[in-house]
Amino acid sequence: MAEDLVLDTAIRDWVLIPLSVVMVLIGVLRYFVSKLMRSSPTPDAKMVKEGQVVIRARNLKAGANFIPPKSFRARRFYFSNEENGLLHVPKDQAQNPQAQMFSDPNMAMDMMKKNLSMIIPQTLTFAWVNFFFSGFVAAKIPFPLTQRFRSMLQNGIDLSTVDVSYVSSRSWYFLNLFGLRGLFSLILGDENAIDDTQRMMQMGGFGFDASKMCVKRCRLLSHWNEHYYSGFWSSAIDGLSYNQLNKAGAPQGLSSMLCLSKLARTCAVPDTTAYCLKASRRLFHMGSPSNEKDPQEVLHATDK
Amino acid sequence: MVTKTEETELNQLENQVENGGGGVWEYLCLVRKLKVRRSELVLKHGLSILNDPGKRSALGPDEWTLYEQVAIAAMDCQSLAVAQNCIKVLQKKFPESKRVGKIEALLLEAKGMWEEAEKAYSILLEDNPLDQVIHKRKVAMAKAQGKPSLAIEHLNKYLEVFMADHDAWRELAEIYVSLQMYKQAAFCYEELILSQPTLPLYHLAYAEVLYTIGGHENLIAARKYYASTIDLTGGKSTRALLGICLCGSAIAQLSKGRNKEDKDMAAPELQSLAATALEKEYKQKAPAKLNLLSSALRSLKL
Repeated sequence: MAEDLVLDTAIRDWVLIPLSVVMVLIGVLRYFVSKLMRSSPTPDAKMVKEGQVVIRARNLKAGANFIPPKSFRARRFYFSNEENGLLHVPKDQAQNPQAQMFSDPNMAMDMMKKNLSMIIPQTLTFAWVNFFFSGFVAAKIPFPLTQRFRSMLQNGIDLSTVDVSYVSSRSWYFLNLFGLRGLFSLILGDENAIDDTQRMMQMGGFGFDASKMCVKRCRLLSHWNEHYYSGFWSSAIDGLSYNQLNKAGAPQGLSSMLCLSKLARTCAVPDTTAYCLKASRRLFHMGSPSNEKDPQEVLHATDK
Repeated sequence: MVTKTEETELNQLENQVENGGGGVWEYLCLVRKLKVRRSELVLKHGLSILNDPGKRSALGPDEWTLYEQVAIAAMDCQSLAVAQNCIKVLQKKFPESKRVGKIEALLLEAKGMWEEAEKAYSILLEDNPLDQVIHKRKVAMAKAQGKPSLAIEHLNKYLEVFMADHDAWRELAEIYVSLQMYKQAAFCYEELILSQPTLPLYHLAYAEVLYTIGGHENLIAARKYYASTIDLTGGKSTRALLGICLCGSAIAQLSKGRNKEDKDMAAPELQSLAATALEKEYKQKAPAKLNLLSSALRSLKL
């Protein structure tokens, strides 16, 4: 039957709005309780050091082009050395994070507290909703749904012919559960938004595991070749200097010096020589607009 | 690092505050947020707020942060009596606080009572061995007492744990340079360049250290880094331009007796271009000194 059911406005006044208000209040209460119960974490020296080592190794990989090759290699050795490299974690020591988590009593307590503060209010509210607000149609969802959702959304309604768009208050509860996150971030400030969905996702991940990151960094660094980019830079500088030289109106002295400085910056010395040869010859051709030659042609011309 | 917008905002507020307009509290908050060192102004205006009971109560719980800020500014300006008063107020309000303990130890340092300050810091460190601020205070104390080797030792120990702290690396580099331990200073500057490769300051400093160490390879590397400084500053760094000229002549001098095989071709163009740019800049900004510059450059070209 596709007839429209007319829902009493009293449902809106006495079901939907009070349910939302109660959920907001419970969220606020939970926030304050968690603030009171939060124990300030005493940072472990080893964890801090490992975190910092990972940052430093990441910087090393990112900035490898900017330091002389010798110093890069020295640092890489320092980090990924087989015997006493900082990032090198021998296989038997790489612990299973789960085992570590449960053996450490503090962390287990923290996790329990976090989970409890989430589970208990949810369970209580759900039971309350089921007890008081079941057995009637609470709202109509504006878009049509398939029959599959009937068992989920129409829990208390025992008529099988009612359109699936008419849902019970349980679905309103779930809607609020997932949707009030934005409201909480407004009320409680950005950092303290209680987000049940995020917490549930976090329950899967078990926190920062520094040792695994160290192993990954170590492997990355040992394969990193600092000259990987030099080929790329070569072609980039080629195009760049050509563009700069042919740009109409550019202050020629400064731009050519800039491009030469870029050339001088390349790490590999043999490349520098070749480049500077080419660049200096190109510089002498600069300024003559009729010389709109293909750079490859110019290069090959000078190589003759 | 302070961004440009923040800097302009700070200067604007400063002018406003100095010329009698309002906005003192915003100025103090901005100074605190950016961690800049404006101790005299902070002292003057902070005291004006604190001494006025009406304004003080208008602050509410921020009053204590202001007390802390004024205490530190007072110590920086050596008005120890003011600092002592602020600390007394804070101690009455927060008797067992570690934060107040830090400021007390800072006062001992300011008075020059090094052993007591050392003891106070060790006690604080026992409670919290991973407190970065206290470690840095110990380094500063060693430096103030004129014991740079001790400062280096403390800094190295600190950096073994907190190796991603680029301020500490910078401090270490400066101490090494002051002690003329240039190789170690070069290492520190490399760390800085790795962490912030787009900051021309570090490239310039590294180039200067390399130039000071000397030797053919180092001079070539120094020239590369001067060049990258020019690149990063868009050609505005006079020091780097001069550096290139000097490097060029030094390399030419060194490689006079050498095999011409590894002579790099970039030398003559780079040097002449740098010289032209330098002369242009001097003509624009300091025309009186242009003659000096020209004669210096001529003597460099060997």
